[in-house]
Amino acid sequence: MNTRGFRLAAGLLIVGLLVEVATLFFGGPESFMAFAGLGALLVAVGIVLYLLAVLRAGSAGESSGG
Amino acid sequence: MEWIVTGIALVSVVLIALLASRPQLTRGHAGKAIAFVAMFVLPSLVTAVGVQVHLERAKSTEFCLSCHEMEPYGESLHVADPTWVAANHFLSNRVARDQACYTCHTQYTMFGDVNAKLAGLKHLWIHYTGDIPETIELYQPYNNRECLHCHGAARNYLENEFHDGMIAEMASGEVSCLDCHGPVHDVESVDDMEIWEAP
Repeated sequence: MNTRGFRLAAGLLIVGLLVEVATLFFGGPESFMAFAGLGALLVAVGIVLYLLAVLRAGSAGESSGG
Repeated sequence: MEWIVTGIALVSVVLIALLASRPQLTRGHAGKAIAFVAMFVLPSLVTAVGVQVHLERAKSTEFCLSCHEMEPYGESLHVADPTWVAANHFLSNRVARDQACYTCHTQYTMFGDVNAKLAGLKHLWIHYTGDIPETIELYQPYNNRECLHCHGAARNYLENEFHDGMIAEMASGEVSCLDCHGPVHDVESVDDMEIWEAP
């Protein structure tokens, strides 16, 4: 697996999840904006990068014969 | 709910940190499965539940009135005059006080909930960009459907002599409930009105 891509995905997911969790303990529109505009966005990008890293690792494994 | 989501998120964060510090753990089948759960399943779950928590919170009266533009509308809910429609509903507990705005300002249609959320996002955008109109108006005339959602089958609505011969017109929207019932919020005169607060 592409370690750099994997670590980037991991970093984004960690920060995104922590932001999401933090917003759950505050009410109001600002909290909602932080959740949707930052937390959920980072998590979504992190998931996409992780899936891309998995797909790349899969195709690299196939091309190298295993 | 918040604590359960927090617990799941923290488990996910710990697993992700472990996998990121030792990527070789993902070489085996078990490691791949754990990585999939930690980096896809759990974050998706936390986000989905988080969206639900935030959307539910966005229905609260406190949430709507937290923007200063809405303060006069909040005050209008406490006007002591029973002809003020919004205040009458709020002070008589005809709507749940903790979801008063949402109860009357959502659309009782299949996508009413979604439309209300989209409108809410638009309101947030307007709030933060500062492009707030001097007079806040509804996007479209208030639909009788929202009143009739609760009142439509009520005896005191159907048997009210003033409604005689108008039930069909009110159902079709030809006659607006607000033609006779009002004022609703009338924020321009709210400061001159007597305010009622629970003792």
